[in-house]
Amino acid sequence: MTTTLPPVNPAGSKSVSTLPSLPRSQRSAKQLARGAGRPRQSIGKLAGIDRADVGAYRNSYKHNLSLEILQEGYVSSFIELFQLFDQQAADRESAVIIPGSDSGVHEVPLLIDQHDKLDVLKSKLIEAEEARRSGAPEKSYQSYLELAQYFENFPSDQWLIDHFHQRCMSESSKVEEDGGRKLAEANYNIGIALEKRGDLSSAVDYLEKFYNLTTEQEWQDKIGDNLHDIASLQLYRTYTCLAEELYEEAPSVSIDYLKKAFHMANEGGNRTEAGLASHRLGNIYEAVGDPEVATMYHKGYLDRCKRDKDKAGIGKAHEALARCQQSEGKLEEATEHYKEFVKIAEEVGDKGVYSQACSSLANLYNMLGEYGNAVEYYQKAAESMETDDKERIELMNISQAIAQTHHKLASYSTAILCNTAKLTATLVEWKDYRDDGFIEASRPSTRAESCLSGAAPATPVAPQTTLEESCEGKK
Amino acid sequence: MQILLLNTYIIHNEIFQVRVTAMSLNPLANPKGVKLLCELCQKPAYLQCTSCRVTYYCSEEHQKVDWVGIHEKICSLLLPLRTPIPLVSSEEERKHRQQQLLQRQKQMIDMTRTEGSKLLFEGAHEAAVPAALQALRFSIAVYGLASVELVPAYLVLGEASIGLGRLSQAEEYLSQARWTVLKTPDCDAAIKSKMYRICGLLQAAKGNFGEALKNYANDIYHAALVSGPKHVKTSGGYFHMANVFFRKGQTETAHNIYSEVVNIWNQMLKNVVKMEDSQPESALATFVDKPAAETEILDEAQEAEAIQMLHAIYDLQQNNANYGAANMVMLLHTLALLHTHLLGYLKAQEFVQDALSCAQESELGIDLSDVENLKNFIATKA
Repeated sequence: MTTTLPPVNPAGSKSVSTLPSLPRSQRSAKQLARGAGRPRQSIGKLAGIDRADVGAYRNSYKHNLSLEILQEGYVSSFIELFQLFDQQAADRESAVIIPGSDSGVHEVPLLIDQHDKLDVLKSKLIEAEEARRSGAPEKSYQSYLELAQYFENFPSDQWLIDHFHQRCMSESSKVEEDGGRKLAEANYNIGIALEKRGDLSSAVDYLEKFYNLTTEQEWQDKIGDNLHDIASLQLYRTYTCLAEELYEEAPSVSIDYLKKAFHMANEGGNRTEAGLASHRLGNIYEAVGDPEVATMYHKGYLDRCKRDKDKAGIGKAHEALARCQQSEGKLEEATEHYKEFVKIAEEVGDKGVYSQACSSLANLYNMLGEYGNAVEYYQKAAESMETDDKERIELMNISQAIAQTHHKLASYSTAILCNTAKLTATLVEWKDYRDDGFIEASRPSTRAESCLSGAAPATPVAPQTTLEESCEGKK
Repeated sequence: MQILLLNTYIIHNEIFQVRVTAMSLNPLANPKGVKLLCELCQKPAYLQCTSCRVTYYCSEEHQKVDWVGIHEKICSLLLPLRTPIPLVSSEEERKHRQQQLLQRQKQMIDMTRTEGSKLLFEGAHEAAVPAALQALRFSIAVYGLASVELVPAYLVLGEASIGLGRLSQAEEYLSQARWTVLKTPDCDAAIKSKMYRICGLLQAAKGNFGEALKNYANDIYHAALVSGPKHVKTSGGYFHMANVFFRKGQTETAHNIYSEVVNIWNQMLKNVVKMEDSQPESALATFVDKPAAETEILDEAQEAEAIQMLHAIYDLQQNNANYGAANMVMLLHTLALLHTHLLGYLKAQEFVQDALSCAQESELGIDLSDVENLKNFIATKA
């Protein structure tokens, strides 16, 4: 028994100079343990396994990784990593499982099971901590940025990407020399990440911050683009997306966002985007029912397209303008614009657009009462249309026929009413042969006019009125 | 009957007089088969404590040491535990008495263990021994010989041995503890963490820094599993690890870890003081409804640990010129919070003043709102 008994001290020490031994029954148990342990120890030594190695085999990967980090003394890295594990576990627990549907959070494999990711995390976190200790926050910012970029390859690890972008932001605020550039970049990264996920409203906040921070600065990124321009471009895109989303529920909010987008696009000097923004604004004002403002914006788009020599754009602009004018009631100007549209569509050579243009113009002529032109354009529309679209072709043909009818209506009614022999003969001939000469022959000439003197002429601009009605009117 | 008057025992910077009475007894006069043994050394006992009459000692010294160590606190409590239960008629009553006995024993275990830990943190290793022993005895009585519950008691004994410099003895206790833990596959991580911590202490005392670090790493990992990596229970592990780094000479690492420790304690103490401020009565009373489970109260051992750790860090940092001003302010603030909690308002005020002057000297934009609040709070209390 090797437990120490109190030594006999002849000087008579006053204090308890020894510790009490273990309880008697314990000693035997301990001895047994020690005795049994000896052969085990020697086996271990024979096999060349150290006690530490045994631990490495028995413990989980997470355990071993933590031990490695701690033994080198990187306590903050350990804390951060551990908190990430805890966060994932907590997310899983709190996520409500809807039976029958895919429970998104639970399908993502646990971080602690993905060993290669853990290794990357460990090395980068240690780098970041080293950088922090040596007082170089831009290096730690760099490490966190690399981590965020690494995890972008794994779309299921969105939470990690967000986490590391946030860390970038906190590190960047410590960087003093660059006048807030890293902070701005961090805001930009977070904004982009949020946008990718679809969380547009939060993305907008961060991008606006980025925009404000880059206002006075001349910073350039690796390609050489000015950061401020990038900011305005990105904001333009985000605002446009937001506007589209909100279009159904809240058109006025949508309009605000589009206006902001327009402002951004103009500022950045991005002409094509500015033009598009202008165009969108015009469309939305049309939809809301304010054609005047719409016209203004569409004109802006037109100018932009002219400058850029974007023919398709010019065509669209003309079309849009024509629509606006039409809704305002300025039909002649509308006609002008439609004509331009047709011309350009012809130049561009896109048959679909061309036929569209022709049919729009023909409709307008129809409304105006210029049936001759209407017929012409319906013809063109039908011809240029693709042969697959049989419905539309038929529609065009029918419209053309209707227009032709109206066109002939005036002459026809005069011919019948006048009741002269010659006219009747022409009428009968026409019934037989259906040629176009009828129109010429029986054009409401002075003869016909004298026939009908006193009778209200069948007005061409009233296609709704039937023959009977005009007769009644005459009576 | 010998009356022993013990004058002027100076312990914990307090001077008090101890009056311990003892009755001498003759081992030959004991009933047949009854061998009364000394509390501390298990030799035949010649003295009996008169206040409880169930505790025996072999000599005056042992009685003194035991009294100072633990007996003063548990004297009255020992009486019901050591007298045999009188026979009662009904089964229920007996069961009820058994239950009560068990309850009392468990309370005793807790109390002795906390007392032992507290004494250890205060640095009074010798005085901790009797307390630790009692803890061990009662644990064996309640849980049996090879139970996991014995491990904390062994750990306290081990730590006391290390403190007294008896490393071989400590190793014995610790190997017993390790063996018990190994035999219990589903051992609680908290106990594992404590075990690794003391093992680390032993290795550090022996000078095996690598082994010590491994042990501390395990300690921190297990503590983090139980209460999270930013809890005060884990911070003890960080502190000891930092000590090892410091002794190895890697001072920068050590200082960084110390700052982490200070941060954790700062957070905890802020909550504690805030809570005390809002419920001044319930913080002191223990028999009223305890505060909600989320806000933790510090028990005595933790308080002693905090005092030891924070003052140790403070002493170290006095000599360190590179310690950033922000960290220094944080440290002083934390110390002030601690003393406020312990109701030592004068000291707290001193620390607050130091913190403010340090912040002003450094001219950095350190957030002093917390410090200001604390200052006002102390002013209202003092």
